[in-house]
Amino acid sequence: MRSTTLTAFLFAALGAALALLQAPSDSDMFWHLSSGEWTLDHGAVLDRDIWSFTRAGTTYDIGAWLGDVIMVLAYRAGGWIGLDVLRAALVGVAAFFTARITLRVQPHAGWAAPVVIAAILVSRMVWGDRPQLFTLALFPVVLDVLMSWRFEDRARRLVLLPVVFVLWANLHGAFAIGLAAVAIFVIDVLLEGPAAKRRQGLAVLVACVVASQINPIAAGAITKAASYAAVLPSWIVEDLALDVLSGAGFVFALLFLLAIGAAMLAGRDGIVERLGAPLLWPGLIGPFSILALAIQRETPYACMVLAPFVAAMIPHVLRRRPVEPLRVPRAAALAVCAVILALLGVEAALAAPSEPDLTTYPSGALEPLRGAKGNLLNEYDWGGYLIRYAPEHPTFVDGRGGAVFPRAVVQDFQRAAALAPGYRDVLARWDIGLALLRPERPLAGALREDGWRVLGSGTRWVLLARP
Amino acid sequence: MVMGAAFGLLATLQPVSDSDLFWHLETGRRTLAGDLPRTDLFSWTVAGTPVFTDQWLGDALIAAAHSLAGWSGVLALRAVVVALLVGAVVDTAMSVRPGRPMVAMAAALPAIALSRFAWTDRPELLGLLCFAVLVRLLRGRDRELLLTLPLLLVWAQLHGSFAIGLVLILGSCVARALEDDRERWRYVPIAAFAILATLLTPSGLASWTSSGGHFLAPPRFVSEEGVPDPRTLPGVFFLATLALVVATATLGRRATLREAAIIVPVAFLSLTAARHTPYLAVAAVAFFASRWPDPLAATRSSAAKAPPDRGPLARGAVVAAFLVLLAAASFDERVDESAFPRAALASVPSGRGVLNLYNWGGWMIWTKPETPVFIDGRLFPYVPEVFADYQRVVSAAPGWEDVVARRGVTTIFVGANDAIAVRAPERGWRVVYRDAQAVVLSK
Repeated sequence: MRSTTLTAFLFAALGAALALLQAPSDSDMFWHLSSGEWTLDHGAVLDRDIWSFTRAGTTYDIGAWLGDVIMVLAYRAGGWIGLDVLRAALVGVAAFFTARITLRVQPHAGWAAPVVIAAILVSRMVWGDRPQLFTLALFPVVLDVLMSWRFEDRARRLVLLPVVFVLWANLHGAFAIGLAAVAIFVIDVLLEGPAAKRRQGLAVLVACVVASQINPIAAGAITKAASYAAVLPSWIVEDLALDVLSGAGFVFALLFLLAIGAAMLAGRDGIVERLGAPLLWPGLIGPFSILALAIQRETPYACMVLAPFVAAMIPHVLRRRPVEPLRVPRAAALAVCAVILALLGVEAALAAPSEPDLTTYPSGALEPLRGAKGNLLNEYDWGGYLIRYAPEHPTFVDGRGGAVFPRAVVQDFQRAAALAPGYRDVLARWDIGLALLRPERPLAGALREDGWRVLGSGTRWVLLARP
Repeated sequence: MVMGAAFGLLATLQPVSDSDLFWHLETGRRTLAGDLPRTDLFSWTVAGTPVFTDQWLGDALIAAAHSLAGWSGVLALRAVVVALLVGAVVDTAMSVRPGRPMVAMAAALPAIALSRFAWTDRPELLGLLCFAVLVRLLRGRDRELLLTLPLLLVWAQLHGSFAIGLVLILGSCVARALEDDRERWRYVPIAAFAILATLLTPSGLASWTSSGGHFLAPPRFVSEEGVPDPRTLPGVFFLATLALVVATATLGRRATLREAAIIVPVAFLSLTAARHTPYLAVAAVAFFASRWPDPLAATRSSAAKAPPDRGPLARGAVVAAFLVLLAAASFDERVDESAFPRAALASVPSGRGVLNLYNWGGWMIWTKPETPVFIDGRLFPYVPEVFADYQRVVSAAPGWEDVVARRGVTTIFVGANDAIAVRAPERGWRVVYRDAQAVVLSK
């Protein structure tokens, strides 16, 4: 076995070990679980709203029915620990293939480790227990297959890609970034590759596009992905532009600037000498870096693209000679892997959180809510939690976001919560009888002053009822 | 010259309107009168507390322009600075690619397009001009490097952006020292003098605090201090420029350490805030110009070059002078006050106790000096306490009435759609004035 494979496995274990320690807490996890349960219980994909009162009966598609189902199966098999293990497995896959594509061009672990670890740490921003974990895992898989085809002429592996895209298009709606990666590799080959490779590239691109149509909304899935990127919701934090002065943003900026610096000092000739494919690297780095800067939740994928380039080009600029990967005895390598897997199992059994982290949710409001009546105006971030734990109270708005709620509904919430002109009209129009808000919300203070009864309160929430 | 004058002319088409211009003007007016404000004179919330003086020369220049020719003077200053800025940018491109005007113009376009959003009547524009000149000088030999020292000295009096100039000069010294095996130690005194130059200001070491604070903790609620946003036109231009930098770096010939020492730190700076995005485009002009292909290369003759023709220089000067005269003649001496509630001002009482909207504070300092402001665009004297109280009141967040009582606010002067404009009347405040833009409330 090549030492790089074993090294990649070690990085996978590191990622998985870190991921295992995180308690489930993502605000969208709850409605994804409920969606998956509904699908399994009814034998059909949930395609209309049954959880809000502002959009009741409206048809919609999140593009993640299979991801929801797998999450539920993991939950039913092992409870919250089952979700921990699923998360760890997917993060491990992501880390493995990120390391693999990096070690492919930079077998020296000393140069590869910092960038791979940086990419793993940045990926933490999408470790929420949601179907986007499947995108985190599958994107570097696609990159690895494409790179082995491009640089090692392993064309047979391309047959995996359509299979991946059939699954991906049903697991999570962000499969479009995988298609973008395929397109970039194919364009590179069309411009610079031999004729045989061009035919292979076109064939796999067409096959992947066709494969991604095999989902409940067929071609609509790609259109949806494109429209998501084109019309970014301004109220969802993870869809906002990246702040490079934040933790993950700073790490991305560091990788990006190292890439630019190395590219400048090496020039096209230096890149050809060290990596080959001079058109491919700007084709990958440019678009994915810009995507990350525009939509911060896409930052991990940009880091996966930057990692191999930085790991290879920085030592090249410093005039370090490339090394060849070592070979390790297969039996020894497998033994090491087995030991690591066993250790991960022990960690899962002993240290993986067995309960979700609900500190940011209004758990104390569930009891008073049970006996309360009226349409509930709720915080966006708590909508998924309420879907799962207070289904008797349909939500005003929740994390299904733009897939279910048009801009007007979100604006109504924002208008009401911020005491904008017309906020009383919003409360009247939707016949709001209950409000579950953060205490610092202007509306929370105003309703209390206006005599709304406090049914319950905590440090992070207050539940109010119309007098 | 022609390009600079043309864009200087274009810059005059935009009326005077920047919300921060007004407190810069007032500060500059007092400075010219020999009374550099070192403590706050304009507010009732932080009156007497020390304030930054890091833009004193920029303020004085703007005030001098206004005192000489009113708003026309301010416009003229803007036109001249923009003309010099664009001229410096185009000159940098042309110096790298002489005889290739198409390539030079293409390389300069991102800088001109992005800098357009900084063509405001503030010392910031002067800082951008200094940056463009610095980038030009840093491409030269050691003699040009020495010229950056007096430039930095002046820059440090004009605007806090001198900090990026200091970083680039130090980076250039390091790069040259690494490239020069024989006499690398001669760059040490240059670096030392550069650092010293930034301390020779009325603020001394405190001038570093202002720049550092802005850089490390930009006030994100101010739109220009937000992250570059692809939903905006400047954000789109910036991302396009970034893509061009990536493409040029990976597809062009090898760069020198000096070039990388300019581009890389400026790229990081530009990523941190929307207002910093023009710097990358300006810094990248020479990089683009030196590497972009010439689409007309195939049509150029390989015959010997003709002797230099001095005619174009003279013709350019004539055209530039004509454009300057046209600009001067076309000055529309008006201030665009559409963003400011002039009609409401009469209802705002004199004296302390008025809580005003942040964006109107600078304008109030100039137009209604008898009413000290609660807050204004100088921002840093007000963080964190005053600013936190301001936000709580304007957003009508729980506890706003306690803030009003504690601070002694008697009048609220905010936008008609602000939460407090909706809530305060419901809590018994009297509406003294209301229109579509502003509301004045009294206890």
